[in-house]
Amino acid sequence: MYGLIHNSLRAMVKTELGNDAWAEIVEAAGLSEKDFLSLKSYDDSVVLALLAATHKTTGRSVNDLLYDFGRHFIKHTAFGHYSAVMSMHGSSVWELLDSLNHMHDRIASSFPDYAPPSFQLLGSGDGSYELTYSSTRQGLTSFVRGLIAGLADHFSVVIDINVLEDACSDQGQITRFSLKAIEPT
Amino acid sequence: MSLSPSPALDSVFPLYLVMDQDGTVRFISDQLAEEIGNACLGQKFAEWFIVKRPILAAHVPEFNLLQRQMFLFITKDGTFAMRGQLLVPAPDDSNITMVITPWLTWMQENRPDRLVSPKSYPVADAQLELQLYLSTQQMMMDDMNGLLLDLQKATNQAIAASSVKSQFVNHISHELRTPLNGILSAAELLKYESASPHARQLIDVIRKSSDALLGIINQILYYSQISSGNLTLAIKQFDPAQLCRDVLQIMSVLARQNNITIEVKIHRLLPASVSADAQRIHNVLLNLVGNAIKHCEGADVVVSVSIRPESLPASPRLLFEVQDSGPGVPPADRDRIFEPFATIAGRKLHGESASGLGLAIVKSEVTVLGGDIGIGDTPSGKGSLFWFDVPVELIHQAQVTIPPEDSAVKLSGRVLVVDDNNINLKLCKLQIERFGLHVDAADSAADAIALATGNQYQLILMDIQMPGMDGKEAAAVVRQLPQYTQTPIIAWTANACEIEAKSYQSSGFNDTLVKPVTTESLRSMLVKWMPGGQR
Repeated sequence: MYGLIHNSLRAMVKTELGNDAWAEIVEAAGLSEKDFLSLKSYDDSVVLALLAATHKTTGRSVNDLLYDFGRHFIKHTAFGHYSAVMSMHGSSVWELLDSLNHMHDRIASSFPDYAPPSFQLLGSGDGSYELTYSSTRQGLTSFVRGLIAGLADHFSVVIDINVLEDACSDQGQITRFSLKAIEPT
Repeated sequence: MSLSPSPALDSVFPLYLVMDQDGTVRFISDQLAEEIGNACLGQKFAEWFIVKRPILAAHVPEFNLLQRQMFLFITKDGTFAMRGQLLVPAPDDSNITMVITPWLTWMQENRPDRLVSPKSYPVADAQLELQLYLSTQQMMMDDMNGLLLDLQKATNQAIAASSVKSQFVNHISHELRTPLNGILSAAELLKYESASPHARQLIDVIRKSSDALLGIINQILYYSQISSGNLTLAIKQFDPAQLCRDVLQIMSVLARQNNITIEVKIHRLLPASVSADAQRIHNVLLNLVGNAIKHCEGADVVVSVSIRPESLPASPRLLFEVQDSGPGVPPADRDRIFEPFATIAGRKLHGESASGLGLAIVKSEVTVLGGDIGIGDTPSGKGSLFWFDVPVELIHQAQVTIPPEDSAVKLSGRVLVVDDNNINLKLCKLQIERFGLHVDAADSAADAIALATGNQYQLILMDIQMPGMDGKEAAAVVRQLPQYTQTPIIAWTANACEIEAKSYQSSGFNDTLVKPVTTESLRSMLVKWMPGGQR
């Protein structure tokens, strides 16, 4: 994973828990580096060690952490530094989800170590959608839920997110979500 | 003329339009129609769009003349900007086809609210990647700024810590030098007293031990000064061959004690005069030769000096080599041998009784001189070959200035010695009196000013650190007295820091004498400044 993921996690921890908590987490993760370069590719084990250490330090479940991190990533990284790129790819949650593969293709062509997931969005015509997420990585379903919730936050809508199927294998993970925008009451 | 959708073109360029020879738009692709509508159909291209490039698009007789140029154009309502290029038509085709991509940077600058579908960008168009890079570049700059701030913070902390360390070392050095001055001066004076042979032996032990202790204190202080960057170069002309001979003369006693012969090799092309910091080069060579003698195992030490031929004529460098026949330094240890307190298999590298800083100081001095230092292999493969080179300026013979010859001196006059430490005061008085001078002693600034006001001294030796009024203030008061405007006032201090010495001079002192004083250092200072001496 590229260091921008680590830096985003660091920003979340520092914002919510303070600088000392991050120093404690890096130490608990057994990492020699406490700073990451956004464009440097790090082994996946680094971010997993950071998440495990955050879980250990805060006592929050890994799934809760991943969900919060997904929301934080959309708000502070995707619509932070990459706001222009994100905006080009859609003006609604659905347009963006539909364009994600296109965007990931472009990113993958620029960053050879990037191994992006794939998304397929199918609309049923009644305002509900089915999103299929597939990745070579395992265990990030809660992170994707957080990403979707983060997009909903950005476009000021509320989306009901349910997992229809979650299959994990040696090849990675495939998750089917049902998504439905909830009209404000 | 076939004006129908081209699936082949569509698959590569989602946006394109077709014009006839006079530039009238006859067809636009579905994706382009989605972006800008169909209103341009039947309109002249150069009239319907605002064409930024090429500037002459509206005036050329045939559009085909504009092939291979980049078109930059905007819809009249300013909602969509594009980049285009004409395709070279087939020989029998009278149509002109322009392939198009959104003009991303214009859109972002002028219509950030307008969403352009990513589908409008052909795969070959790198504008999206460019956007990605620009966004990422900003992120990397933020990373770098964060790291720079961290680095600056760490540097400031290191500088602060180093400053505290230097102050501590200077303070301790001062505290150690003051009583050591008493021991050394007393031992010097005891040489002139009658004593039993056994007592003389013990006095000799005191003197040698004190000398050794002073050497260690000086090394620690000197290394602290070098480490804090508080050294400046004193450039002067000198004869490098003579410098070598001077070093060897100093080391000859030690060499004889160890039954070692020192051989000197002066290169035949060595210049007779160069300009550099001779004293520091002297120090470095002295250290290396001393080490060589200590580590030599019964054979010769060879010292050679030459000028690096490859450095001529642009940037001449003097090369010194010191070769010994000792146990040598294994190649694996050669990088770290110049680190403080380095050892090889328990063997000290800096001399038997030194502070462990000898080679670290040597390395730092060479660095200050702008030179390099290292260890090479000896021709025989046994022992060590230490070398260092330093940049010098060559002096042509016509430029050489010859210092006046030493001559016998006879000192006369009155000296005022000021120190709040009564032991040092008495001992110094006794030492100066041995040169035939009249000495008055004052143990406070107030007494010194009173004595100076009522008398005329030819030289005043003033301690710096005294309770109440310190030496600097006292010197300033004395300097205001009409009879002392030109009288040499010497700062007498245990603070051997070069920076401090300079500050004394700017405070009105003529020179600095560092404690502990030896008979020789005192004599040199008196010869330099007293009537009958030489300036």
